[in-house]
Amino acid sequence: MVKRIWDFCGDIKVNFWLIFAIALNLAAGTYFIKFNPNLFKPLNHSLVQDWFIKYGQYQPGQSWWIVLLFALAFFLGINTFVCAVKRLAQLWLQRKQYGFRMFFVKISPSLIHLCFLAILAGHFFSLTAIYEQNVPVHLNQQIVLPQGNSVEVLSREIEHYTTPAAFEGALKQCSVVLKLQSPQTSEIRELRVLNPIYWQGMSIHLDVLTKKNSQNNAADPELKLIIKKDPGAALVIVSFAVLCLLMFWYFPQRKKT
Amino acid sequence: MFFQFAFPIAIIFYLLGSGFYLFRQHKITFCAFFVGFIAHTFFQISSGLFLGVWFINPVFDASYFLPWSMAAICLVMLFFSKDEKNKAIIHSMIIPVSLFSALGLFFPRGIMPPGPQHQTILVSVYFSIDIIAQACFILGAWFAFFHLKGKDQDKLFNSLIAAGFIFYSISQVVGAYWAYLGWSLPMHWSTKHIQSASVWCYYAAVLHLRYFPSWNSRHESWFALGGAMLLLVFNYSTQLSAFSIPKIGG
Repeated sequence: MVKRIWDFCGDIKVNFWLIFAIALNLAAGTYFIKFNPNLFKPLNHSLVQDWFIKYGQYQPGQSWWIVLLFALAFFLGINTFVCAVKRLAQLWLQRKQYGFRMFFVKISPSLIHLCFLAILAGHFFSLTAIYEQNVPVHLNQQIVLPQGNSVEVLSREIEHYTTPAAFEGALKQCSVVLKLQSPQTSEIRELRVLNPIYWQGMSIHLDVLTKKNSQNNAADPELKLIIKKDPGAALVIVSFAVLCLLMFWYFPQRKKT
Repeated sequence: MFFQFAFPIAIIFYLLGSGFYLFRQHKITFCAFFVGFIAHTFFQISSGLFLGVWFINPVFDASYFLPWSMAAICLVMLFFSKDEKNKAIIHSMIIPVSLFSALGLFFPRGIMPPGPQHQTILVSVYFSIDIIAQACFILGAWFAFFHLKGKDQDKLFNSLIAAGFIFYSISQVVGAYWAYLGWSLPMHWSTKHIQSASVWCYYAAVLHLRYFPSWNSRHESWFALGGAMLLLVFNYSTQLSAFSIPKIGG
């Protein structure tokens, strides 16, 4: 019985249909997001379980695909793990038949799949276990954070285009100067859009809210500090980068061998 | 300025090349294609300069860069291909290049001032690689069509889809990093991000089809065609919303 379950979980056909179902589910999801953006926008800055309790459960006709996505991703995770482990175990026994290079070519797909698992895990942590505060920027405002930390906004600067003439007055860059206070230290640092500050295990991002698709956003834009501890973001980005490197190396090798 | 005419000139040569292809004049097809590609390249480079100051973002505008990427892939394949049968199919790629270039004429042109979240090279890297991947997927579907007709026995469509998947994955990493720096999230619950995830999963599934002993390359071809359809529906539904956005120089 256990062997049958193990074989089913490690079946490549199950793998294919799960990924295919996820692709279709996401395609359906784009439709719901496009026509009901206000329902899904809060998902970007809240835990998925909180979002579901607050919004999702009251609109099952709109949110079913997210529940299904989690279920499919969970089974895909199990399936990918079993497939990778089965293949690695099999190749490990045959390792003496191959040279190191050939062995590495053979195990690369399994390593790619393990990277994919890490990406899934990273997304799961990012969706279910982040700490986040979104605070509109006001001068001299003090933001209290856990463990005796705090952030104070000392100044803000808005830069506009002066050249070319066609862009004149449009918003170019925004920055704020922050005083970062922990029980032990105090430091002053500049925060710009796209240049987050990493401090006390948290990342602090500057977001700018402008009228969507507006060229003339010169009027005082609203700035927002995003202070967060995201245990999954680095895992997602690093694992995805390693996955790309492995694929970039593996596919030409597969042709040669 | 001359660059404004470079794109229509490119289209004229692409269309001429398509006409010659239909009459099986492969050498003249190639010449027309090559002249069209040079005009198109000139247009792509110069479009970054049309406000008098160099901006790289317009160079990778999907409406024009997608057919350019398709044409560039076609030339690279012609250069490396030794098989005459494959070369004949590669010559036929001038037809989708012409179609996608002609479509570019109908989409709004112009430029938006890059806002604070677009002041990074990651934007251009992301869009350029993403569009090259899309070009690979679309041409993969073109080759899959020929495979279904009994041509492309070397299954070149598989190689194009594998290459497209690698490029698409790289673009997704770059995009995730950009989104993390700019908005603190590697993935948004937005239409664009979910569409990208859907396309990535779809092609990941297609790449696994080869391990089905009972399925043959014809099944893979149908899935390759389905992928291109999915991509085009997503792309052009997004492109249509561009009509409502006022642009400078449009």
